Amino acid sequence: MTSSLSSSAKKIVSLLEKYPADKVKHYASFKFSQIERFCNIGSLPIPKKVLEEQAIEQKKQQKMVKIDVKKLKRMIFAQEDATPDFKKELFDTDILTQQFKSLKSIADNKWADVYKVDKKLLEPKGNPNYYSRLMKDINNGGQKRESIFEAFRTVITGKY
Amino acid sequence: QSKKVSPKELVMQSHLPKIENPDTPDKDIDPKRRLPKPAYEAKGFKVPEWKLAFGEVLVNLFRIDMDNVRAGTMGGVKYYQMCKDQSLQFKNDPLSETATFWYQTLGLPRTFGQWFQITGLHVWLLFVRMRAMPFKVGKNYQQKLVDNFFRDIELRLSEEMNVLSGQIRESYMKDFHSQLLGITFSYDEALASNSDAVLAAALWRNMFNGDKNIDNVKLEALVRYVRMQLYVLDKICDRAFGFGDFEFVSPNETIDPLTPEEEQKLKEATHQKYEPASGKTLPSNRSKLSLDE
Repeated sequence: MTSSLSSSAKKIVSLLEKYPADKVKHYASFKFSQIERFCNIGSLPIPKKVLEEQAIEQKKQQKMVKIDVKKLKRMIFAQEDATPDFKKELFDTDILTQQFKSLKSIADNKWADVYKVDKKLLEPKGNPNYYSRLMKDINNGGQKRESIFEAFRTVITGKY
Repeated sequence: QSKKVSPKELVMQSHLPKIENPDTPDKDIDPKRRLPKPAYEAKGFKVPEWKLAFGEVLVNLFRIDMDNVRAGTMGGVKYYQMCKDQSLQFKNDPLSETATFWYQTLGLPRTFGQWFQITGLHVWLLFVRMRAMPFKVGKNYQQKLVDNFFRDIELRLSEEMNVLSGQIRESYMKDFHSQLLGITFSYDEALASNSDAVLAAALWRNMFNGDKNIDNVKLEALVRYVRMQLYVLDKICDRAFGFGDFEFVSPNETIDPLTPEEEQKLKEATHQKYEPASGKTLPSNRSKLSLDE
């Protein structure tokens, strides 16, 4: 029983490893928190590759995020925070298969493919460069400043 | 076959029991402090005939730009009402059909902040469509929607949440403002990168408060819900959307992608409705918005 549980958890973890990392760093990452959770449920060690990736991400995050929530929490509540309670006892192979199925259809872009949106929304006629410019900024990590001319254009036309 | 399952049924299939998150306790709003509903939100509300006729004369006489007026009545009032009614809830009150989905089926905490997040998601959905309108009109609709949103938040904070100090209210409003920026940004990123994984992560952060013990079936259902709305918004034309003919798909309904023939039929029906081959349109129904896209 336990071995089948850990094997299904392993399947989920290897699926989650393929999820894209957040381009802009936030306080929490869906990918890493879920990997940690399912490793805990399946009593697996967190893969080394993930740990390395996470360390790099956290370094980037520290540069961007001004307030360190974890540090503040430690300052306010004296006790060390224990590992979160993942309610391991609630899980069985049936539930893990369901979770895997859902994560799989998210990873496969299932619903984006079923409900396809065409150019009308993605290149809106009122603001055709909106999404391409947004993606350019995101791919730069949101750290690069745009030139003064582009800034002026935004101010004058009101278009992003 | 799985296309036929609505988001609500999808969640029902999950066998994982609800895992309580101690960080987000319920904080119901006391119904005694409930804001009175304005008269125009009542069911079966009708403007008297003479007022309508008088309005038509005024519009015709002064050549009033109705697209500009409609931004307030439709974009500001009607669409905002649709967004906020999704998840409005009061202590011991029976939940509406959509609110049942958010609070019971998905098990989200019953708090003011959660109400803001759900409303924000729907406001963003409308933003996406408004951007695809002609620039001037779309901007106007967006502006009216945001204005109404924040006016309502301020009123609710002072009346329903009993925040009496204006200074504190102000600081909350600033907080909600930056939250709305974050909502718009993260969902826009997901839409632009056309990836369900990015959308799921954004929904997890915003709607589920970054809960570690999340049921991923619920997350998939919500991704499906958002994609469904975007699809409908994509298919509706500017004119129909501008006239307030859009409704959010209920979470316990499902839609099938249209075939080309059905799309053609939809187009013909819209033409028939807004610009019938015979007969004139009323002055108040004049519009420059496109019927085809």
